[in-house]
Amino acid sequence: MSGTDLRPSQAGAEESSIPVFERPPALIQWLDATEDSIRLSLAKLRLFERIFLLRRDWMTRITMLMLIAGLLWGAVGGFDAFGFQTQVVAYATGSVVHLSNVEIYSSVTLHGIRELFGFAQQLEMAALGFLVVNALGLVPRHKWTLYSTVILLNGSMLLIQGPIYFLPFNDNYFPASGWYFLSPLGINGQSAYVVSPLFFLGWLALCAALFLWTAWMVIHLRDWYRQHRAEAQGRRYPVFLWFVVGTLVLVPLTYGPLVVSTAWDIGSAYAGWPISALANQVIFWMFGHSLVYLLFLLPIVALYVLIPILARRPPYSYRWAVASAILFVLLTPLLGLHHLYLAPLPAWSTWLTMALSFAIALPSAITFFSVWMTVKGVPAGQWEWNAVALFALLAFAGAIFGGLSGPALATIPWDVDVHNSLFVLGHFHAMTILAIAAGGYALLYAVFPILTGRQWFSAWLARLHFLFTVVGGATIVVAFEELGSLGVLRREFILPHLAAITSYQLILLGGIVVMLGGQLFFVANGALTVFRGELYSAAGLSFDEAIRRAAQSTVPKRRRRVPIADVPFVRRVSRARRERIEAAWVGTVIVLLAGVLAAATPGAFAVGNSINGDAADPGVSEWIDLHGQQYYWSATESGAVNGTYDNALVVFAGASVEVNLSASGATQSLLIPFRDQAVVDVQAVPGTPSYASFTAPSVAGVYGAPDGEYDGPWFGQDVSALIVLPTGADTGASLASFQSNGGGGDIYNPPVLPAATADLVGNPEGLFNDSVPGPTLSANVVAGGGPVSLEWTVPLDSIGINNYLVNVTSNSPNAQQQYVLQHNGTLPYPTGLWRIDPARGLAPVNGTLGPLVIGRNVSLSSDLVPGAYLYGLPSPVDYSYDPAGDSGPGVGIQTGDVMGLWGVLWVGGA
Amino acid sequence: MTDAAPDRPTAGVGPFGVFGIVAAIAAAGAVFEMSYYSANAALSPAALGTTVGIVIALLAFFAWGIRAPPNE
Repeated sequence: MSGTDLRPSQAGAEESSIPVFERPPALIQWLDATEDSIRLSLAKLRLFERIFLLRRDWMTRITMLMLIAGLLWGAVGGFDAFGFQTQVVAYATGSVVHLSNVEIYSSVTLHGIRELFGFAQQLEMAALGFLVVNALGLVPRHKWTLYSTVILLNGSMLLIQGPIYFLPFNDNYFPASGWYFLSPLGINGQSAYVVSPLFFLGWLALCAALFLWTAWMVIHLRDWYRQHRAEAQGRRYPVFLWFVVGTLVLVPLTYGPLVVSTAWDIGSAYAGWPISALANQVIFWMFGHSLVYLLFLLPIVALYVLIPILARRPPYSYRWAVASAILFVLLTPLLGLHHLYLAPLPAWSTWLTMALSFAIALPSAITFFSVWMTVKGVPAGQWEWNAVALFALLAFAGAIFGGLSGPALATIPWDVDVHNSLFVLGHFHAMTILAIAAGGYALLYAVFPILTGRQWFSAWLARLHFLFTVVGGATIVVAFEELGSLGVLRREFILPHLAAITSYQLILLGGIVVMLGGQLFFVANGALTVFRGELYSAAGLSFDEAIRRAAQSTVPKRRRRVPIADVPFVRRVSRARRERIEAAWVGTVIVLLAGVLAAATPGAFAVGNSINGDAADPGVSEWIDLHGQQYYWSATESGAVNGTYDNALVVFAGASVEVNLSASGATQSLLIPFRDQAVVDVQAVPGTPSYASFTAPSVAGVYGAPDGEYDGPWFGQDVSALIVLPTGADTGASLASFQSNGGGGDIYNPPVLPAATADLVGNPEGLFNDSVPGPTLSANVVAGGGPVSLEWTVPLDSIGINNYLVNVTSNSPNAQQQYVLQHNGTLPYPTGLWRIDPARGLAPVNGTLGPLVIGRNVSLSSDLVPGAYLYGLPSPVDYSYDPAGDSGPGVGIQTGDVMGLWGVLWVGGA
Repeated sequence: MTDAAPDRPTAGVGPFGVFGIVAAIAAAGAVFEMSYYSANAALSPAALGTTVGIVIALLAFFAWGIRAPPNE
């Protein structure tokens, strides 16, 4: 890396001495001159000069710019997560939820996008560019190509955010599609929830950034190879370079599919192209999964660079390390379908993906064994626990902790239990925080002094950063996994008020706070370093020595005892011996993978065949045509139970049920998260039928069945009920068995309350008692029937911008309340009681029907026979959310049909 | 540059031991989190198969690692 460069670029100052045919093009000359003018003006201010290194060479300046921009996106993305989680905790604790549904879900969407791309991807690009240039002693070229990459990547983050209204600030058009947007969600003309076209353009800009960066890297590697051809032949390249090259191969394989799926989405939305949601999702996930391995190569590069440098020993086995790099590249593009295990894809394709997903454990196993072995034999006195070593250790451990849940999630029958649950997020955040970010930080601590020319200011800030990252990150991961084990879905903020859920959500919030707070130590240390750090010079040092010196500046001076000088390494253990052990380890892993694959294969085909309708049970007694849309299911039933129901599946206890699934607007998922019998978990993808087969619980009761796939901002209300009716002699049974049985362990079961004393109150989400479906009311009457009473209140102050009961065209909550008052405190939705007649369907109970009353207590009383009834508003409300009247295809559209103010009245026989 | 100090006697746990201990803790934590599923007979029995495979792999990891010759 060249030292300080106080001069303007050569293009300006020495133009007259450069032959015309060797001068850069006029545009480049203009850009250089403009940049120099701006740069040198800003450099007069110490703040800018120090932080942005304005007097350094352009490669240093751009690298620093990428690091700063990356950390900025990381901070904003982290705050998004904090914002989302505060709303989750607010709802869980009965406090006020301040953000709208859209703001809440756009927080989690942008959290993912900003962290994955603005932060991690940009950090990876900066780090690998720096390493390649410095490790190979390259003179970087094509400055404006690299600048364009930075502009495109950071610009893409701004585009993906969608339209931003500053006066007044309105972020209700930020995308709330999830960071991975599954067609047709968000597509104009296909989905009830539509995002701005800026969202799709942003993704294309992101792709352009990555392709341009890859080209820039390839050109430099090509140039190096041409200049050192004779020397390069037969030479062993550094191990990390194989992984860098692997990264460059993976970029087009990753972002190429994203271009295709995004272009298809744009064509569908704005040119009327036909869409196959399933095909589009298959293409998208070729990107979606490859991306995480693309990012995962960052900590692997970090470990293969830093561990040998700190240990002053080469990697344990060069050939096995190279083999793992090749395996990562070969296998990564083939794993996308493991995000679609529960979609109606051919069973052989998901099985094959499972096998390949197991196989990719092999290069990880090789890598982490090799890294561990690389430090074997290093005496304690020769190893320094500086910040680089600590974060490298964290990346090593984090990859093991997170990576081991990979095969779990890759096992198809196991995925039925955990798909889209927070257990998946536990795996994902273990990898991103504890492995990828940790590896990135290890590299940052090593290269920052080299970049800035300043030693780290505070060793203690570095240690605090490490400690908070470990504690915060581990807390987040464990909280996610515990919540997932309970059955909590990702992206849910409307959750049952259960003590265990609330506790872990609070712990999760605490983990986020600790994690974010810890990053402040890093930022503070970085700022203090550039302004007050001791000068750092790599003059006369090798690359390895420069790294060690930089790392050592994170250790208090009095504890710096390990020399940084290179030590000649004499190999004493033969390659054959070392490679034999690696081979034994690899052989063990292959045998175990084969065994696990064999064990999981029958279940994998059973799941796949069932979803595709190839495993019909001849004993089926209940057939249900279930259509999912935004935001409810409509069920048409035949068999022992007949009729049509919204957001309810009605079956008899112990019945064999066959469900034909379809969807429109967005992928849906029929999920019944039992814990004392097999979980039901099948995706319904628009345009492709799928099937679910299950045996109804033997205990009658009301079970919760949330939509397992995010389908838009009213996802939280999208919860249906599996109503299991008693049979034969149990007709008229109470809910006592259901309650003593724990409701099958399904956390989404509505709470059971006595009908006579239940205090049902509507909340600002349009739900009774924060529950969806509303609480199950129980009553007992004599066999021939008897009086049953219930009452509810929907307060006027529950009507607001987040309540689907009244369309929103204004951001003022009073506008919706004024509408209600202008209509005599009623809304034209049918409320009352409906009896579930298994022979015919829903039958209204005379004398109970009326419009939805707001602001007054509603009392219902009627003589009822034992059976199950629906109370409240058991039909969807057509809803439009259009704050400030800005909705449109260019900005975003939020409509849908939402149900919430309803529940089951269970009348048992005394 | 820190003055080159003579090789200090090997005192304390070296990086191999530390990395190994931390890996063991991380692995134990991962297996614990999986155990909820693998120990629940009502959920997919495949969870048990994969978990057992992972546990055996971990035992092999540490066994081979301890047995391996040093990186010298």
